[in-house]
Amino acid sequence: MKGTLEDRVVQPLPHPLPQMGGGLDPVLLLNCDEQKTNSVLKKEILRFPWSQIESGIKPLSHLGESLSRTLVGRMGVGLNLTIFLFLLFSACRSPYATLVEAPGISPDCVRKFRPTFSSFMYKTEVDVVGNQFNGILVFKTMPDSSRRVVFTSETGPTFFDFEFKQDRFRVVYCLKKLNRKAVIQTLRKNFELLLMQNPGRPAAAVLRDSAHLYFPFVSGKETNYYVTDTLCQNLLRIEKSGRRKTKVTVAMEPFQGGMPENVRIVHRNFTFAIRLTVLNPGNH
Amino acid sequence: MFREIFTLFLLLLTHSLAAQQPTGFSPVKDEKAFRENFTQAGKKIQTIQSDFTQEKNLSMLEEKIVSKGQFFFKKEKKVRLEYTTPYKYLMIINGDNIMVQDDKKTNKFSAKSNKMFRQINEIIVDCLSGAALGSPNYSVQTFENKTQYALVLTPTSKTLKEFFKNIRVFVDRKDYSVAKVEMNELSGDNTVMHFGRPVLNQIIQDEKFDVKN
Repeated sequence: MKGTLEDRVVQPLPHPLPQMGGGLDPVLLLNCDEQKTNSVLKKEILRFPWSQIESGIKPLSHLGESLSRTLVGRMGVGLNLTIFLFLLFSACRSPYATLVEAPGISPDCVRKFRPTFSSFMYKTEVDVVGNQFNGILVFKTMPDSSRRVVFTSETGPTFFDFEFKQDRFRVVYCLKKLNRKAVIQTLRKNFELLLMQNPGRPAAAVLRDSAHLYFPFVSGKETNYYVTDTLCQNLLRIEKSGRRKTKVTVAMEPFQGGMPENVRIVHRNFTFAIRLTVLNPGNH
Repeated sequence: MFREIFTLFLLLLTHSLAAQQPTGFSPVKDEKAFRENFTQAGKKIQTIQSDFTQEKNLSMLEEKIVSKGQFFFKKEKKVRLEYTTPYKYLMIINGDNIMVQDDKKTNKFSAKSNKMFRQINEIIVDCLSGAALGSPNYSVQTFENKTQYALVLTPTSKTLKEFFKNIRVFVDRKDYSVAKVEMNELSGDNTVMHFGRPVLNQIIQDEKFDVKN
C-alpha cells in the first residue's frame, strides 16, 4: 500500500470562488444539489461555540474573520468567465462518472470489512473551520450487540454518547451546547460510514477504475462508496457522495483486531476533519 | 398553604443534601472552625507539586480511561498539568493565559474569551488554594470522617451546571492537602483525580508555567 494516510485523503476543497458582483454565493454555485444542506449545516457548525468547548481553541472572532477571508477574498477581481464556466461544469460532473462495471465481483465482498470489536479507544483531533480540539473517542460493542461511540475530553467532561443499534440511532447523552440537529447528524453519518452501520442498499453492480474497486451503497440521495484494491482484499477508503460531488472521505490503515489503527475523516464541502489514532493497539 | 410548600421544600432540600453526602462521612460539626482553618491553610500554600492519576469512568459503558502525569501549582493561578499516559498532553494555565500542547500542535488562547474553560479550570485552583469556600460559582457543603474532610461543590453558575452535578473534594485532616477531586457529570460519568505524594511550598520556577514557548 503506497503513500501515507494523508496522501490517500483528498484534502477538503477551499471555498474557491469569490462573492460575485451580483451577490451569488460561490458555494451555492459549485455544490449544485448539495448546496441547501451544506448551507444549513455550515450555519449550524459555525454557530456552535467551538471555542468554548475545549482547550486550544481560538476565540470566535478569529473564526468569523478567517471564514469571511476565505469566502470573499480569494479571487476578488476579474474572474474570467471561461474559467468560471469551466469550474461550474467540471464541479457538477460526478467524479464517479468514469468508473466502469466490474463483472464477476459480488457486492457482498466488501461486507467482510465491517468493523468488529469489543472496545477501542482513539486519541482524537478535530479540526473545524480553523479551530482544533482534542479528546478521546471510545467505541464499544455492548452485550445487546448495540455499538456505542463516546467522546470525552482529556481533562474530564464527556461531550457525547451515541448508540447505534441495527437501524436505530439514539443520543444517550450530549452536552447541551453541542446538541444541535445538524451537528449530531453530521457526526452520526461519519460514524455510520466508518462502522458500516446501515450503509444503504447495495447497488446492482460493483464499479472499478484501473487500481480500485468501488462498492456503492445507495442511501437516499447519497451514495456510500467502499473502495478496495482490485482483489477486494484491503479496504482503502470510504467516500460519501452526493449526485455530483464527494462530500466525505474516510481513509484508514491498517486493520488490527477488527478496527483500523488510524482513521482520517475529511469533509470536502467545509473544513471539518477528524483524525483518530488508536490508544490501545492489540488490547481489544 | 405557604407552610406546606415550605415544608416540602425543606424535605426536598434535606433529601438532596443527603444524596450528596459521601459514604462514611457526616456533616462537619464545627463548620465555622473548619472553614476558617481550611481558608488559612490555603493561604499558606504557595506551591504544590504532585503526581496524579486521573480516572475517567464511563458509567454506562463500564469503561475506565486512566491517565497519569504530574501536577504543578503556584500562586496566583498558575497550573501545569502534564499528562504522560496514555499520551503526552500538556496544559498550562497562567492567569488568563492558557496553553495546550500535544505532540503535534501548540494552542494558546485567553481564558477571558472562554468562560467555560476558565470556570472548569478554576475548580482545581479554587480547591487547592482554599478559595473554593468563597467562590460564587458553587454552593458548598462540608462533611468529615476520621481522616478526611469532604467538600461537596454544587455548581450555581449556568456554565458549570451544564457540565457537572457536583464536584467532591477530599481533603486530608492533618494538613488540609487535597487528596482527591471527583467531578460528577450530568451524564452519570465522572472523573476522579488522585493526587499522590504532594510536595508543598517547594520552589517551582516560573518557567514551568511559561505559555510563550
